[in-house]
Amino acid sequence: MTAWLRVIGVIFSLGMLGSCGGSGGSTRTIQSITVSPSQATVVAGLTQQFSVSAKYSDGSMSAAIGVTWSSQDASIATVDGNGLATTHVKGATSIVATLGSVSSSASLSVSPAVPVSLSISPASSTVLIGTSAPIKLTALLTLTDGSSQDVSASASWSLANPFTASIDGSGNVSALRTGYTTVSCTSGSFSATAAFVVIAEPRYLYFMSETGRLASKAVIDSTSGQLRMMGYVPTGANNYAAFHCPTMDPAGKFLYVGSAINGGPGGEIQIYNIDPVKGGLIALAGSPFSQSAPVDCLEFEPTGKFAYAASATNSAGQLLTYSADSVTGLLTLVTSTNLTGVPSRVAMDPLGRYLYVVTFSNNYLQADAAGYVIDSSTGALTPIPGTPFPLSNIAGAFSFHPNGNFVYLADTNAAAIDTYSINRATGALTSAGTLATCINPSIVRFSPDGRMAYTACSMDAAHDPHSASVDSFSVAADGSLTHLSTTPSDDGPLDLTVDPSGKFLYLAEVHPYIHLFQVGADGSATSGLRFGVQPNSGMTMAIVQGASAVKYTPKAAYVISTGDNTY
Amino acid sequence: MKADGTLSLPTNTIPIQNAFFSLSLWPWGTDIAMASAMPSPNLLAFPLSADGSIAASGFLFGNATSSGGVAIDPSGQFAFASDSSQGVVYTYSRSAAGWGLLTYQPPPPASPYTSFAAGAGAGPIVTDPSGLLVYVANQVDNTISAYQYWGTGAELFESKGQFVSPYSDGSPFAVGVTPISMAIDPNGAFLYVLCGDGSLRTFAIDYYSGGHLARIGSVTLSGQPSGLTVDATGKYVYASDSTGVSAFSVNRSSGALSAVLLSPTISQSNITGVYAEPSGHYLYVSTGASNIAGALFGYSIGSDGNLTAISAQPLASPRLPFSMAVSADIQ
Repeated sequence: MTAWLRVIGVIFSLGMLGSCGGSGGSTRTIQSITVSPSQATVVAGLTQQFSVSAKYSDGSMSAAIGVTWSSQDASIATVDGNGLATTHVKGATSIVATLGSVSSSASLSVSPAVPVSLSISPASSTVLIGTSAPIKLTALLTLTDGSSQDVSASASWSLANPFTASIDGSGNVSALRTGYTTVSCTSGSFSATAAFVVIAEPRYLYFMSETGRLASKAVIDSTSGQLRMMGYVPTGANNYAAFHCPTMDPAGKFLYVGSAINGGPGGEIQIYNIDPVKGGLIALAGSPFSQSAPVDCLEFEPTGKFAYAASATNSAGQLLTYSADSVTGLLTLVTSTNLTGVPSRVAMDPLGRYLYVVTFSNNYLQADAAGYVIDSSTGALTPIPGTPFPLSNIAGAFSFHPNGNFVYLADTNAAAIDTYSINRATGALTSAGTLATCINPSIVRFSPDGRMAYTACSMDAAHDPHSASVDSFSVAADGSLTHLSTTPSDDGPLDLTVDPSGKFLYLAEVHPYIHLFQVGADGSATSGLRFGVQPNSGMTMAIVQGASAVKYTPKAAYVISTGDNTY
Repeated sequence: MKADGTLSLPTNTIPIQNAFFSLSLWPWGTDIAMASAMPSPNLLAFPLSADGSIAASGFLFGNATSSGGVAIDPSGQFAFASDSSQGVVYTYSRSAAGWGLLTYQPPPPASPYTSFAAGAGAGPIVTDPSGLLVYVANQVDNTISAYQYWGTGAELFESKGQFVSPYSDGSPFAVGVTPISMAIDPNGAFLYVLCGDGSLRTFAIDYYSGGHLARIGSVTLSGQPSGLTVDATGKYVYASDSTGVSAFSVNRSSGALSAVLLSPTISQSNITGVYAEPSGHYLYVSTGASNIAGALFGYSIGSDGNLTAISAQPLASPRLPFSMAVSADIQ
């Protein structure tokens, strides 16, 4: 404060004293003061403002200045110098105002605290599959006095994704399968949600190589992400088969590889039994199975009873519905649904309710989203009201966010990712924004907890031919993406695969390499090793997961003893 | 093998004829094979049982006049053998009946053939971890031949210059001195070559160009080189020579080797080989000579690459151990 301001302050203070002590030569004294309100009832934890008026000897009344406030029982309520009382616990007290020799009080009754909000603790849980003990979630009502009350036993609990976890009436969550689910809790008029993520250790990685004639295998080191090649198995694929796409059933028992026959109308499906311990692939008798139509990536609904694949020809397409035998792994074509355009890869709702596919028509000048409701008992597809939904980008394929509330369309022919929100009640899609990206973003992949999204681009915005990258984005609750980082990669990126622990990304390339990216503390991808591989001919890669990492145990040593010609 | 890296004596020591060497085993494969410099058939393969024991009798095959080496590919279904006399390589496939020579049928009107040109003195042979690349060390013309193998037939497609854009050179790649032994980085990034002049040379592997090799560095050992191996992570390279064992850490980006100071030093003499087993925990050193008792020593590999002796050395005392391979279980 400057010296001038201090002087003005002093003058002002003197003026105030004059008004209290009298002016114009006559003396005016305070006869009484009155606190108002004279009584109040307040919920514990809230506040009550009191004020004081003074009655003067000349009969005038005005607000009292210089009052001292106190509470008769500070454990029930306290009051500050401005008359603002803060209640603490149930009870009664008096708020007393004193001015000189006079005083006045008001009665303050404090009623019990009431709930103001509900929360779930912890707000986010990440559990490794195979964890036997349920994870205890606690529903906490926060009361007006700042205290909390555990209402887990009386609250109503539910899960958005029953395939990922189950929950009992007390908030004990058991992991069932890798994935993401929202946990909801209701108590009275309050509700809360929490995230529950089930992750797994990555064990084996499969990819199609040598134009689909080989299925290559690698062991994933769950600590470093290192791939150790385990060889390959011959697939017996048609020499003209192309666009191989390896996917797995939800139980991880079988590997399915859809493909198209170049120059012909048909396709193939390879099916392998997966040895979950040693990672071996054993082709089912009759694999590859010839198909009358091209078969894109087979996507299973969460029960594993039905699989769906797009079937693209030059000018049209179909949606193929297969029933799956969970014991043998065999697929049976149930029905084909005609599409109005050429489809890209099917996107399967992690909650198993909806299916979407991008279709291109009018010589690839128009793109639409065809959406279907899945009948979980029959596998039948029913068009979502309003389908097809027009799209702005004319390239790419949808990918589902793990929470099932959004689908993303990376414009593989341009430089953008579109976000669409899903009406969970109807399945209708609504545009929720577009983010400009690097050039030719690949299909968007997500971290298991859905907080991060990743794509691989062939070039940067300046079209530098050697600027391929993996780009990392944070995902907000409303589904919007925020670019976090750009990490250089090899030229010719194809598709990213996120491992089930969320620690590693694997990038398949047009060159015979798989590039490892490690996920940093902030979720961004950081470049790691790359591994020489048989030329990747697949559209994606598949990872076998489990409760534990792969362990190597030395088994036998063999030595040639040339001294005595033994071995 | 025991979990602590020690070895128990074999229950089945298999007598073999000839002087076999070049033991080849894919760590989780089903067969083990070895080569001999004696006249053909000079390859011997044994099927392995689930517990790692070997069958009482092996399958004798091979077509080389004098085999320079054998390597089983990662699928376990194919094997490659070099012929040091003829300077060629053969491809074999495994069937229920045993191992058989494969014939390549080129596009007409060319005639089928069963061998693929390598260099003079074609010797040690290795495949890369993916099974895509095959390298043969030619010990007379001091080169390395590189091939692509596509896992379904006989063909070894040599990565010659005209096929390895953007490079102007191609297979065979000059080494300049005798390549004694080769080891491939488990990540497929580098080929390490132990040379007769005592150097350990590093070559970068370019998969895109069909396995093109580019020399990127060299370190010199103290004595006459004898063995070479890479640990399972690819972080460390171990070499042996007449003075002992040397360790090197690998710069994963550049491939440069930096010496790891072993403490204590390993200074055995008459080392015949060093072998890193596939679980990544242990390194074995074989010693011996025609007039010196053989021995196997074992060391645990530390996170810094240092080697610590496993107790009760030596672990075994085979007569003149020459080549060693270790299988592993995956769980």
